[in-house]
Amino acid sequence: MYLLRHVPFAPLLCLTAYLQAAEAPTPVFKQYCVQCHGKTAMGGISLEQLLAQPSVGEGFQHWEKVATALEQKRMPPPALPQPSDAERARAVSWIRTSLKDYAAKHAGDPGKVTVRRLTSGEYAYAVQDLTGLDFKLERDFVPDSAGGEGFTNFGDVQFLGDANLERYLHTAKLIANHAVIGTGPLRFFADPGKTGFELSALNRIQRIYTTYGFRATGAEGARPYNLEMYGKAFYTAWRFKNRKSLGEPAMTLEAMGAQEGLNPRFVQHIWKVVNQSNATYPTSEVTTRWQALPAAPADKAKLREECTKIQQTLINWPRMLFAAGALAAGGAGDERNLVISEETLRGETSHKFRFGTRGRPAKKETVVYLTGLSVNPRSTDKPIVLWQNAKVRFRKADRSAAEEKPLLEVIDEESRKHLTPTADNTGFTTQSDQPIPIRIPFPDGIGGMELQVEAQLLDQGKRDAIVRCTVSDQADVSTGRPVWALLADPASPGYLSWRAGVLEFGANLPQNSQYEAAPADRDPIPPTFDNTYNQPERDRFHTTLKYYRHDDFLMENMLDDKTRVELNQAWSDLLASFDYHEIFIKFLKEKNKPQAEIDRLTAENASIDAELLKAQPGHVEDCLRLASKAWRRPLAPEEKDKLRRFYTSAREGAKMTHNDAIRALISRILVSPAYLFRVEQPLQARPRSPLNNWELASRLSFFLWSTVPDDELRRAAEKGELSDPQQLARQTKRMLADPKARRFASEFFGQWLGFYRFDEYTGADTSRFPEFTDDLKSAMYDESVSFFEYMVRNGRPVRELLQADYTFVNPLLAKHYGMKEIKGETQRVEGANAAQRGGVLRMGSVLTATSAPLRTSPVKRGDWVLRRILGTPTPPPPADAGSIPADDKGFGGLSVKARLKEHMRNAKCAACHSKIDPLGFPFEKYDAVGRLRTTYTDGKPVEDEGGVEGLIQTLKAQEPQVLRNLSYKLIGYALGRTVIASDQPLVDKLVQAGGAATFTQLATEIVTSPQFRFRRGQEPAELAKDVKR
Amino acid sequence: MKINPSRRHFLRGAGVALALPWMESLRAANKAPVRFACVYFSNGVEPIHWWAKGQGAQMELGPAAQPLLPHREDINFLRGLYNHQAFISTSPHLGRMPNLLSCAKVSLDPADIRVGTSFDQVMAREIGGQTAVPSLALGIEPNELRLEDGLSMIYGSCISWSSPTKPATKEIYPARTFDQLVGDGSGRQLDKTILDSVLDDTHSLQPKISRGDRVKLDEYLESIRDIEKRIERAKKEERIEGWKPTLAKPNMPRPADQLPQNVPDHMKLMLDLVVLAFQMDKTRIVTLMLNNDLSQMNFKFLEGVKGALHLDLTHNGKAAAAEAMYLKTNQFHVEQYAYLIRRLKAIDEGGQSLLDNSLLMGCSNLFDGDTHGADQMPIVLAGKAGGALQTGRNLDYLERGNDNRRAASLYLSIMDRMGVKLDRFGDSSQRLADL
Repeated sequence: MYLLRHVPFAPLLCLTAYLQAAEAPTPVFKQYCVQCHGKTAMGGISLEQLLAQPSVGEGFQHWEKVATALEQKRMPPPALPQPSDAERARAVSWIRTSLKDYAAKHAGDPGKVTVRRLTSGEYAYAVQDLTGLDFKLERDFVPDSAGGEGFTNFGDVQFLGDANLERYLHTAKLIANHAVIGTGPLRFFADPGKTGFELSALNRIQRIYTTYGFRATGAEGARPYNLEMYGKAFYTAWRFKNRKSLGEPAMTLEAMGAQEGLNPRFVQHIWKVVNQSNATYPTSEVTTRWQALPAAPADKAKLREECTKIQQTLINWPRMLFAAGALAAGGAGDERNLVISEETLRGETSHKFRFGTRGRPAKKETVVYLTGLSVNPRSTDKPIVLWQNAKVRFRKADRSAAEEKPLLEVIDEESRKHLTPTADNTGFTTQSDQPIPIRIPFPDGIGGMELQVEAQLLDQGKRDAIVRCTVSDQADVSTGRPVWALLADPASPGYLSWRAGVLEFGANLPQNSQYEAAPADRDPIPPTFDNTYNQPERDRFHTTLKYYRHDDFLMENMLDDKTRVELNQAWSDLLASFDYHEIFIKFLKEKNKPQAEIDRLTAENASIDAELLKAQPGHVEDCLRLASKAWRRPLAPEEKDKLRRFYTSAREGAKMTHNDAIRALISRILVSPAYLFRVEQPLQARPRSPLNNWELASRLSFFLWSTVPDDELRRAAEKGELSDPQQLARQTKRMLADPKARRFASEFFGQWLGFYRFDEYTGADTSRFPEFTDDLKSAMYDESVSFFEYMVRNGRPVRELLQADYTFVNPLLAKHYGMKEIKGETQRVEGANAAQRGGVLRMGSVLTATSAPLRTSPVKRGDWVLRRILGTPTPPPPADAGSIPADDKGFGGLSVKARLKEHMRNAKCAACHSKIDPLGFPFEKYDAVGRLRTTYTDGKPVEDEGGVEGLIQTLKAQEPQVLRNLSYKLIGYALGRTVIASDQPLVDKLVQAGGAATFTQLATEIVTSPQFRFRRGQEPAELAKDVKR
Repeated sequence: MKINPSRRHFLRGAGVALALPWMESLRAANKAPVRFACVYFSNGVEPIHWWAKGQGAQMELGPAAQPLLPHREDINFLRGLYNHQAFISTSPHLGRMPNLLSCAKVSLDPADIRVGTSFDQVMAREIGGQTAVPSLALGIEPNELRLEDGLSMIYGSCISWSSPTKPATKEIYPARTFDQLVGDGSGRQLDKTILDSVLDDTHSLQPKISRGDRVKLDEYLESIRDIEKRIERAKKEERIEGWKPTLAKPNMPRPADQLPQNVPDHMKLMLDLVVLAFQMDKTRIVTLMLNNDLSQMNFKFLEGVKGALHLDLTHNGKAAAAEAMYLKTNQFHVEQYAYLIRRLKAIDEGGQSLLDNSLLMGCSNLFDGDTHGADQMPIVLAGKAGGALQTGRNLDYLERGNDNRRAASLYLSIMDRMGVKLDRFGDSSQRLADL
């Protein structure tokens, strides 16, 4: 009032100065408005202040409100003097015209954008993308706050104090501690420090082994894998052999292998092996079959089948030799690793067997099978096995020892017929490839027995016989647990040449391309250790050394050069991760083991040290690359120098180790303002200047992904493509289809619609709603995020925001919602409307977040619709507004609706609540944790005024307003500022795109707008101040 | 309130001895320092429950203030003080809360976050350099990430403002607070190396960016300097004053990294940390927000209470049962303040208790929480400020006229006793009469 009385024309003068189109209807405002909207600024609006601004642009949102209120005759209040219709119309038209003129004149103004600090969310995502690790940083590890259009990415509310910086420093060091600094390039691993270094190496080794290698027999509990590589390689070799008849004469072996997903080295190897003209046994078993494959043309499917059979042959042969169990074939039982070595192929002239059966409960009898299978095809005669001194020791059902008797005294008559007793009757002979059953009836109370017997080859004349001799209680040895021996004369040439053949087979067509890096029970430990189970040396290996490398076949015949290097580096890292060599050498010396092994280890140790040293300069360069990614631009030469100097002075000045210095350098990169702040450099003294390509890439990436630009964006920026709006549009499309767009769903939609971090929501009273568990919260949060991720990535029309007939639930949430039972993970469910779900209005997260802890709040929900969906919030309630009781149990007979009717009786309340309440009641069918209900806790029926279906119809009719609000939010989020008057043409464009538009379309409009692509230059006044500085 | 930066830097740069005028520092040499804490709770009280009658040992207290009864001779009950800028603000919550300790106007322009430097931060700037940690701004609830009536909830989450446009970082994690107090600066050489180096980055960025952005980078720069100073100070730890704190090593275990699961545990832990900070003389200035404004803290942990603080209990529709619950929340808040009094009283600092050497302010920004009444504020002071404050009094300012009941006058009086003499603060240029 004071202002108007004493200097009435001051504002008017300002206005006329820039507005020639029409004169401001100041007298109208003065007469009818300023009494309340002057100094007192009721509802936060002061026309006095608005008129005093240099342009309508300054208070444009208020001007909009004034125009609407006048237009709808909501103001002045009925009780007060009213302007004439003409006055009203003139005022409204003046406001609208002035705003339009202003917008047209200033359209595309980039506006004032304060430099933005990474939000906690952005920081976490960026770190994830820089290191490949999710550090599960506390979500508020540096406190954020919301501002602008309601988002945390608004520079003016991003503060930085020393406590924040301490957090950044702490977090940067934590991240740096996850760096793996070894013989290879810099990388990061899930576990930190020394442990992480070791595990990272082991992890890389395992990944290479399981990706590129194969195993037919596992260690204990393991499963075979990648065996089909053999079949594919046999097939590839066949195809190459027949390439002319197959009509692909120019095709190389390697190219054919690549089509099967095989490495060139492996197909080359197999090609060589299968084409041998006189392969030794048992390799010949494979080559003969492969060479007999029909020539092309042939049924390819059948041929593949044949190749798989050949593969099976080569797997089966060792299994036969070692009488192995069925594990590798998919069964259970024998988990032996079928190692082919001089040790395992050791032939004996005689062998003492002990074979036992378990004792409980008492049984009537048992059957033991004796087998002497000839395994040398060159030995033509059927070998005869002599069994001597056979004894049976019975065991009672309680396992205590019972009597011991010669075997021949206790077997039944039928069994005796298979045996030929020796002359002195101390033994018997067998001559058969087939298992010979021996039935042993048990005396009363006996449950088990142990058979002891000595076997030897009878006829010493047949010196090249080699017999796989077994004792088992199963006729088929592969299903039981036989005891096994290879009977042969170890000095005979027949045996020796046979063994050479088997060893060659084992080397050329192995069962396993490598052993485990950390040998499990069934993989052999280093030969210098005693491999006997539970013996001190074996235990010592497992507790002190753990690792042993045995992957010659893989290295030699399967890996390409690059992977070889990676594997070597991983092994070097693993062995460098602790005092492997020292421990190993100490053991060897202690036990007087061969000097050659000590020498080998000493040399290996020295070479790993050299490798580590050689890798050091690379790590510094890797850090520079990391800095460039983290800082979102190429580094200037002097910046590179600065970082290098930092490293050097850490090494030389502070005497840090290489590892510590690299970690310090990483920390330093991650606390730099270049990382923490999204700095954009304006060109001086221009009204606006285009952002450079790197700044654009950064804006784009933070807008759509909340993170630093990826390689593709960096490439585009490098090439300068992003100056072209078409390229920006292309990138936008790509990025919003990418899985990383899920972050857009949680960051933008979450903050806009109020389900941000809902999985940590604590507002519901869990003693009243015990079903509101952490799992349910997560499911609700997941529903919301997945819903918007789906909409964005699949180009769904924006109107589905409210109208979608689908939603995302997991079994728990489906049950909570009373929907049809489902199984498995979170999934999209169509036809959700039938279950009264679908769209944001019926999401558990939103329904819960807009409730009080114990009851629903139609006011909060109505306010949510006004504020978040329509963008037309009412002013805050007067300070002395009353309230309704906390608990819907406590209404004393009055329904919520009846209580809220009070609003209508009081004119002060009614002005706003007549707008709020009708938008809140339709949600009443959903309780305070988002479940459907038909009655309140007091049993009274729920009235929901047409329900959410009705509300959706209402909002459909106001679609342009919904879209306008969405546009405000999207523009505000993209630009990190509030929407300003000159944004109106852009807003209009988005609104005009209509409800069928996709988010990609809207985002593209924004991304290609001058607001997004330019930055305001410095005001001349600011520049002048700079000069003085 | 504006402090000349050159003076400020002079004070900070010159170090401990010159932070106080020379004569005064001599006088203070063998005397325990005065510690200040403000314990804040949001959403006011129920007026009929908040009163005091009589003086000293005869003082009677209203139901909401009952937990203070055992301490009535150690407190001053102040009636009728108010914050004029809060009172005239059109925004019932955010216009009346963040300015509690500055008595400045809260900007209601969403694009301009602006309140005014709070007096604890003024003190931190002036005398905070005497301790390892200049001041602590503690809280229980995190910043809320939303707008309230178009305004950032940063307003509702902070009572300590280190500049008119920047809140002091509020710490809600007990473990981090502990580390801040206990870290002795050893082993921080690496941090210093890193910070020195990034300081250089910042300098090279500065000429290239706009003036507005530079303000933000200045925050960053200042943070670096603050940390470096802290490292330096912690490293030295030798005192010019003859007085020594009674505790050299923490007498409580380091709290767990996570936030405590329930509210009473969390509050107790934070109060214990305040005691630790004071006893070790790690800082002399603390604010602790028991809740944020508009807090939806669920009070079901109190027997017979159901619902959220703001929506259900403060705005209770004057229903008797709900009013009774609201009273319990008031008492619970006052009990937290009383706990701090009790603990400080039990610590002897050579003849006087730590409480005697303290000045504890317990307050809310509103009086009648339900109607957002800012016509007066519930404020209690405890402790004798090292002998500079007489206690056991019930002082009534309500009818003395607005100019004579400004909270900013109280703040000037408090700052006097802390050794920070200003002519003017907020909207007042006079000390509070009769204090």
